[in-house]
Amino acid sequence: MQLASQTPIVPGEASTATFLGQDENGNITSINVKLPPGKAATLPDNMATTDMLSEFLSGTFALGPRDLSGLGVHWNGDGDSPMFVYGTYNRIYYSSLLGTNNEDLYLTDKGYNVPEMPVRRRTLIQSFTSVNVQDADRITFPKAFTADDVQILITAKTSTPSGTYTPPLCGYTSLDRNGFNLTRIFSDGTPKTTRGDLSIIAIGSVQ
Amino acid sequence: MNTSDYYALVQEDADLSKPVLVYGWDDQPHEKDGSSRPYHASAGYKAVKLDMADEAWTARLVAPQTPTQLYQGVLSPYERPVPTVKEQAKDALHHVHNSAVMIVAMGGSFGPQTRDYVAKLQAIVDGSDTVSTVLPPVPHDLKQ
Repeated sequence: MQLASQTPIVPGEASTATFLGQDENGNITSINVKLPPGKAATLPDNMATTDMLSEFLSGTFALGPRDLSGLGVHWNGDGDSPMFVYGTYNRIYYSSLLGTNNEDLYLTDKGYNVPEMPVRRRTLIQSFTSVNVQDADRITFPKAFTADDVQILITAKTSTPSGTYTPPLCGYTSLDRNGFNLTRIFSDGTPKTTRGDLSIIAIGSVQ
Repeated sequence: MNTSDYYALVQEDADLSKPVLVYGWDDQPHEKDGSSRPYHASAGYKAVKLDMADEAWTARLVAPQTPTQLYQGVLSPYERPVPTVKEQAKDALHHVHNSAVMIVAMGGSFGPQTRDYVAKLQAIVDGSDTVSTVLPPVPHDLKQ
């Protein structure tokens, strides 16, 4: 197999290398391999990359039925960490690889070994209070989620200091994985800079 | 020894030589050999590593979340910028406006003191009064 070409190497971005291979019948096949960004990594010997796996599973790397299981490694560009990949052409499972235990089983970032194969994204619910806050304050989640598709429920804990029982109306802007900007107004004319407490439930996902 | 590194997330263009508002919090577990892993902040943010013990992080997770600022590695309650007199005047006008709806609905009207008060607020808001540094005194009764 021979390196035919490679796209320019840009820091932080993956590059694609093209290899040429020849089968026993003399047919030349080109294979694209996506190279991870960041520092050079050392892969274990005899381990297939995801591109080789996809070639393998799709039948261009080796002939075989589509339900044939395969194993490989995929580099996740986000966290620059290797992902274990296994499955068939129709269904592929991923799991993070961070190390091995004493039995040399691969461990995920949650300490599971690979045969347990937890799903890649989990739902996380964070329930917390935010005290002494006012309109336009930045409300942070206790811990960041790993994606921006967060749902939040805001409940005002305190009534207005003017003695009425009109609760403040709460909303948000700039919601992302780290937190949101609070909008908080009173329908009875209480200044929006009046501070109070909130109870918040945030539902999002973590990897 | 800590099991993770802890980070405060601030805006990507934040000037860390001044107090900056914290926009988020995150942790990054260490490798099995205890070494740190690089942390990649999401777009628009940068991560500032905190000198924080595991116990302090755990306590922070369950404590109420309050706006926090970071300056020279030290976390402290966020000091909100003092609103300008113009911003204060806008809020005061908003309050008078809300009260006016009720007064008019009940067949009343603003008295001369209130009209004078509103005129002064409007002058601050529209920029014709650039001298005042504090708001005019609020009338005791808006119908006066």
